[in-house]
Amino acid sequence: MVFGTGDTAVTALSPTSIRMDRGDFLALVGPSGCGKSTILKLVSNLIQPSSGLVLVGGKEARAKELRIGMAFQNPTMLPWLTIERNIMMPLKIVSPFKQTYRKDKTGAFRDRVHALLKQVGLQGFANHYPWQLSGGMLQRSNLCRALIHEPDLLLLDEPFGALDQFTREELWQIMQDLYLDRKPTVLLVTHDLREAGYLANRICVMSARPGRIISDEPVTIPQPREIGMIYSPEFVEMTQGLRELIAQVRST
Amino acid sequence: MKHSLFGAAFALLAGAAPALAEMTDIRFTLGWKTQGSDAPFLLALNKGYFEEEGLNVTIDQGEGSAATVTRIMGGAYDAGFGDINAIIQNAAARPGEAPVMVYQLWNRPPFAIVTPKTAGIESPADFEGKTLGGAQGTPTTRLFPVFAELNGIDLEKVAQENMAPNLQEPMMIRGDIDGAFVFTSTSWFNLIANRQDPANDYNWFNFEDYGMDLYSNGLMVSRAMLAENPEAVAGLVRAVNKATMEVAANQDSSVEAIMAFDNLVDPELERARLEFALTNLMNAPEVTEIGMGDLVDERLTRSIEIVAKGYGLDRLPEASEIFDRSFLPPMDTRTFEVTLN
Amino acid sequence: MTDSQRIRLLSTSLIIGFFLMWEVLCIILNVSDLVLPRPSEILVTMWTRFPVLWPHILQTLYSTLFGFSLGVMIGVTLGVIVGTSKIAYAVAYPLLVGFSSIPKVAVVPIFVLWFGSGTTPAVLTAMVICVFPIVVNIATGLATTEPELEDVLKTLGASKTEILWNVGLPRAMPYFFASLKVAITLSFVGAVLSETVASNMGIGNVMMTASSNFQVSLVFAGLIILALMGVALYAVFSMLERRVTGWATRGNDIAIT
Repeated sequence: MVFGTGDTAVTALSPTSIRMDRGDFLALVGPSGCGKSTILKLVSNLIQPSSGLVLVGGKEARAKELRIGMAFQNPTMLPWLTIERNIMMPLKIVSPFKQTYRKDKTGAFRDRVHALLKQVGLQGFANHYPWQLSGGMLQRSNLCRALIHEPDLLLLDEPFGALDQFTREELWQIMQDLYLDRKPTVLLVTHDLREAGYLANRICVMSARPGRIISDEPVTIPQPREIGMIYSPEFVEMTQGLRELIAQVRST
Repeated sequence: MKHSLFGAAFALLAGAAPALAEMTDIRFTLGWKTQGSDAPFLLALNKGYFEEEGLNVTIDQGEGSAATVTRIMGGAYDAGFGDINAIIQNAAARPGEAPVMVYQLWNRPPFAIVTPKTAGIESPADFEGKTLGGAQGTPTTRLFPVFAELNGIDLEKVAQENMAPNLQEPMMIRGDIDGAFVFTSTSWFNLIANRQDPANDYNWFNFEDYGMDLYSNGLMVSRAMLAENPEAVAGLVRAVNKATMEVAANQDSSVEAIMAFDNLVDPELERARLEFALTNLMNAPEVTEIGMGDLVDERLTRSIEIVAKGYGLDRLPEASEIFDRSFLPPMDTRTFEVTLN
Repeated sequence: MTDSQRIRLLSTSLIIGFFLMWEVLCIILNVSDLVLPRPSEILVTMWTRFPVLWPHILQTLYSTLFGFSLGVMIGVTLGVIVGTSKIAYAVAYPLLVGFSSIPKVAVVPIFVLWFGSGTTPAVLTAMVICVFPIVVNIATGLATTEPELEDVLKTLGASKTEILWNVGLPRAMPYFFASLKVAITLSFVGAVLSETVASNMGIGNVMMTASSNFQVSLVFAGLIILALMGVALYAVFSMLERRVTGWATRGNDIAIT
């Protein structure tokens, strides 16, 4: 896949393009304010480019033929629905699922939800309400919701940023399991270098505003990765290299 | 089971429909909340006299004998029981639009000033220096200037206060006002309800005794109805006339009809009020001469002058604009004889 | 005794105490029953005349509920339009405020002039008087929907209607149901108001007739019936609100009513 991005009013982004292959897990890191989240918002059509086009897979992002799954830092569950119905929501909106929603919501779709819940360790919580769950549990539900409709592209905008370290590590493992099981194409925006290193198979570094990609390296550590390995020397070396690169970019 | 029930209902409706289709709908307004004196209309409704004439009449309570005229002019009602003096007032300003009286019922006016004997008002001159209460817009209140002129009262020296009609008697009893501008048929009974003795403890200045022999309430219809459906007007008048004769002869069926229309009123009270109306408002030597429902043009013309003066009207309508006798049934069917039972 | 039981007991005692004091004061001060009847008399009147009063109660209830339903339908429609479109908001709001500021007492005689006395003006008054709070609440509920909630659906490519239906309206429901409590009470007031001006049936009419004939005990009986009806309607919609939008008020556990 190829995309090209245009500038926004604050010239948050220079014309940029990122290449991803199907099944890639790409992490996008960089100093704050460099436009990482803006890229996600452009791709998911939440904002419009001030000039130029957003092309995804050769087609304009607006065309709605691209199926997107998105998880923000704030899980934003709809408080009046159960967890089950929340996770099912994409199936109500996205074709071809929405055509059979009424029929399947108590049948096939429910099974999907339950399968996902099981994978993230939330089986039994389907009929709970969002206010009954902790932050980490909500974020896990968020991931389920982002994947239930089998998106072409999964966009993650610092999804684990609001969680404590232990919960974060737990969710990294869950994310890795989900990824290895279903092999979605993932674009992860994060400021946590260890997160990027643990989950991704490629890491792109962005410059400061106006942002552009200044480095694009694969991560050679084989998957599945043990959580303990984030303390191993080669991992630390990799993240240190990234850190230096970003530090340089921040000061210019 | 369901099928045949439905079919039966349908057949019934279909059979009834042509009959209903011939009936003329008439929306009728009374002159106030239900009173015994409304008996002619309520009896005609209750006994089906309107239906006999092919009329489907719905009767609503009213807001005042003058309001009847405005309700009809506004188009919400086709006919009603209301004050001829209000017709005069509206006909002056809007010739050709005001309703027309087609059957006069109250030959004598109910307009009066009532005062407790303790206020010490024995003659019209005594009104000077006193306070009188009245509801704005009611005929008695508005005609007081004429009463004053005809009886040598200096209006400047009479204080007038405005109040809702049903506050007049309580305020009089409390002494807040020395007298009130009322309708005799209403006030007499309000005083009784307030445990007063209207005959012995109160002085009544009836306008008819003091130079104002106005006509009062009757059956009126809209101009539209007159133009478009004169047969309906004739039918309405016939039905009301028939009921009126019956009411005069026997009041039991009247009370029944009144209760059937409005079960909130006190039957004894309304019976007494009906008797009062029959004796004091409807019965008169003139009625014996010309029959119930009719009036004397020359007297009407005099009334028009009195009203024009009192209301400050720009022009004097003709009697023929106000009253139309062409719908009255023959006089031998309008012989009014009151028998109180 | 639990907290809620205690509160209920206290509130019942207060009500009974109020009526007892009323009765005693009337007796001691020798108040005429033409001015202020005693509660015991009123109770007797209500009991003996209940069969006569019942059809009037039903009539008032009917006018209230019918007018209320119409008001809700119009209110929701207008509220959705005004709440989802900035242009509609700017254009329609001044007019709505203007209309709602008119005291309905002034409007009833106009309705009577146009439609005659009876049920029609009562229903219309009930309808007109309750539209505004509903419009305002729905519009506010929609306009204050957190953008993050909408974003969830936007990223999936949902249309504006889908967002309105799945996020906007459910989000606005607590506001809507809160306004229903207010609206039903207003409709009730509107219907009774119209009945006192011009009608043949209904509790408002009962009070006017009783008042004209100085049946003061019946007037007060009517008043108490009105109060009871008002409370009952409010309570029904309060309960409905709790059932449907419990998700929004959890943590605000106001016991009773």
